[in-house]
Amino acid sequence: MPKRSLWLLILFILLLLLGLNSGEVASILNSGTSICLSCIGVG
Amino acid sequence: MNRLRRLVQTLFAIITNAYLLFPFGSAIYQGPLKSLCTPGLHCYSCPSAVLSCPVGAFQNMLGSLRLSLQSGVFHIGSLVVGYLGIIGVLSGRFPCGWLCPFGLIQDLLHKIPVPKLQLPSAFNYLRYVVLVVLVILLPLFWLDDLGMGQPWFCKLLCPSGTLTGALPLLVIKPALWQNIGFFFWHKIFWLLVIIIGTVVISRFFCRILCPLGAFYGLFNRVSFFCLQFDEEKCVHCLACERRCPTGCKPYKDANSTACINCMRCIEACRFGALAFQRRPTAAAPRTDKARS
Repeated sequence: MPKRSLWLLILFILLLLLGLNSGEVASILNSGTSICLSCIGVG
Repeated sequence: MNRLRRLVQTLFAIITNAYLLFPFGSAIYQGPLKSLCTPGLHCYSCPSAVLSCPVGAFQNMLGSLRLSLQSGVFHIGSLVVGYLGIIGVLSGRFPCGWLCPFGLIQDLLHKIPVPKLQLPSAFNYLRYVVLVVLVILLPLFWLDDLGMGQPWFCKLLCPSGTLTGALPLLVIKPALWQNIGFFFWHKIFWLLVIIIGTVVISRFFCRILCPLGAFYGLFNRVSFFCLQFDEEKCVHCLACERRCPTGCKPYKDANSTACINCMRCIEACRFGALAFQRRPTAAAPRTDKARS
């Protein structure tokens, strides 16, 4: 198993856990459940 | 192999668009699955989408970064980066070739029988400009009076948002027509450019503009699973290059950042010179004992 890939995998798992721990899931849910006016092009 | 890929692409597009109650309830799905991101590019404002878009979610978090830090909340987008990074480290741009709904749309558009063109190599790195400028820098630093950044990739360019989000929503909710303005017509213009571009140039959007593909592409050279080329089996027939939808030359650079791991080159090679396998570790130097 390439060492560089393994370290990158560990880094991204830590980032994922950091995001989960800080409650980013709620932020994703919040943005995902409202109609995105930017996507529609309002403005 | 290509049939299997088309089947996987279709199934994944159906799974990510499984909310079919949108004509009867709220315009978009608002359940708990929206806390998960799809690995491909698919607008979360698409009425049938059940998952969130990672690019949109990331931009929204960067845009509200200052306000969230002021209120003591540490939302820097690490969940999305970690999630996409894990997928990238495992498989590189595999989601582009096999899982992205907009990739499937492009593959189908390119089947329209018109004369095809080759993409000049000068455009190959534009997607990194889109990633850095529209997805990271502008949402982070161009703030409105309230201190909020906007998701500029969604606002200015995203063709998935226009095609699968804006247009269906304008049909379902005609009241939204009163609010559209410059940005909508700007996006319609780019959608037309991308559709026409895709008809004549294979995977036009993936190769030139897609920020998600740019991010995944960074991992093509380090991913656990990758395309591997066996020079001893190659007869230089160039069948792999002719079949590649992104203009790669697997015999020169099997892990190019443009490669979407669609594996059409593997199918094209009759001599078994290409394979999608686990990346080998660097060969350990042989010792005298090993030689003897």
